[in-house]
Amino acid sequence: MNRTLLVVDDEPSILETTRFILESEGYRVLAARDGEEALEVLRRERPPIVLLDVMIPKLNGFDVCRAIKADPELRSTFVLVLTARGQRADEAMALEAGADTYMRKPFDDEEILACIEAVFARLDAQRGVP
Amino acid sequence: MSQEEQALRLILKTVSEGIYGLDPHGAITFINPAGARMLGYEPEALVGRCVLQGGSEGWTSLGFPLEAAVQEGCHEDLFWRADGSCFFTEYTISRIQEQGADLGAVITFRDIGARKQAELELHMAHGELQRLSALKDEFLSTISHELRTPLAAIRNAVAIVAKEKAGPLNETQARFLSMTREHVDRLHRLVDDVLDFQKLEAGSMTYHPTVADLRPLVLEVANGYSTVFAERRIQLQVQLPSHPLTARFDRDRLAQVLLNLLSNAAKFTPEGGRVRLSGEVVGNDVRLGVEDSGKGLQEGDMERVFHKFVQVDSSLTRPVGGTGLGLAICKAIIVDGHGGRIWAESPQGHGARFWLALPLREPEGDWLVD
Repeated sequence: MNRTLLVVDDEPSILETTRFILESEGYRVLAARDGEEALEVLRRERPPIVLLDVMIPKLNGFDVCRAIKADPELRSTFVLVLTARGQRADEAMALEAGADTYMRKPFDDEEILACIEAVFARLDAQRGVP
Repeated sequence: MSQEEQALRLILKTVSEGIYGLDPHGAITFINPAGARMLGYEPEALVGRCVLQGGSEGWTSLGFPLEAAVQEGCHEDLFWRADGSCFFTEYTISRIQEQGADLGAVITFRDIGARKQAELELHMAHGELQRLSALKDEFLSTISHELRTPLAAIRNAVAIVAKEKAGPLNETQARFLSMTREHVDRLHRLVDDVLDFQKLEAGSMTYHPTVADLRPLVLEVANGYSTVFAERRIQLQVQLPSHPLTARFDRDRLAQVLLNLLSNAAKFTPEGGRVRLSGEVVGNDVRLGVEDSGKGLQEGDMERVFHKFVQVDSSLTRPVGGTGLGLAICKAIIVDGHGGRIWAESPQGHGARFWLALPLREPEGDWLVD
């Protein structure tokens, strides 16, 4: 299956380190710096997972999440919203916006990798990949 | 003129308060020089004048007839001067009655403009302080969030290199990177403390409590922190009963408190020492304790350690950093957030003991019960 994911963050260094962590595990990583770009990339590339920061320009993470879940073509994308620790209202907001799960920033590389691995395993199982 | 009358006149002439009399229809019967001066009139110009007819809409805001208008006692109001300006007064009205007949009233007044001005300034200063305090909260919140982003980036980048994902490291490089990681994590905790503190100050800390057994959480926190103890060669003992320790608590916040107590214990216990983390039911409380074999607390510090910005430091084996907010945050979480108690003990020569007590609850939704 397509082991591609989209990382959306407006902070270049976060984007780069996350990309490195994921790429070194063999994932293909797409990047977007704002909400609009995120939706563009999603429509063009259809990655099965998106890691979505909340505080991003143009459309915020919640808006992007709502747009994904309202779009029949994109609806099946697994949305992982990255919330800042201590902003617990954001977690409820993320789920309300239709996110599949959330993770608190800062996350450990093991943590994010375990989560992504589990999601891909589940997507594989759903699609009958052995 | 009798001597007594003369004395009374002299008093009326001398006092700094304004004094005037009114007849039952509200006309002024006399006014003393101080009163007239304050109002900007010659005394003669006021006598016989009805309060209603004077100045701008009447130079006091008293209404008449007297019976209806006069509320005996002390009041504050604006009085009007001859020139149309006004000033704050405090005045007292006393009715004059003789054998049931209303003879009028006597009013004593004084200018309280200076006091009012001071009150106004105080009020404005208070407003300004509140504004500054809100600004401080906002600043702390913003700066903490802003600090986190670069910290997260540093953390990620260091993790990549430290885990040799960007190539092999030699021993020295690995050692310095490990040091970097440790300090980035520490910086992170400090920033978190500041942010939590700001929330507590602003009253915007939120709790999501559930009724549950505390034991799994205690074990989880202890396991998560065990490497720190191992590195410092401190023995961590966890002692929990075989029955549940059920309480109503916010998992994350309680974990934060336990972690803080453990981290303090680790800081203040010398290498080769021992820390005990225990749980038990005492009366109607679930009690958790963190006991260390460090040098303990001074008598006077037992309360003080829970105050914000306080660090009990003195002469430790190694320098201990921190914001001095950790225990203040713990206390707020336990007391304000959970209706519990938190306190310290330090029996002579036995290290420090920190206890927290939460009200014991019945387990909820226990579907395993036959």
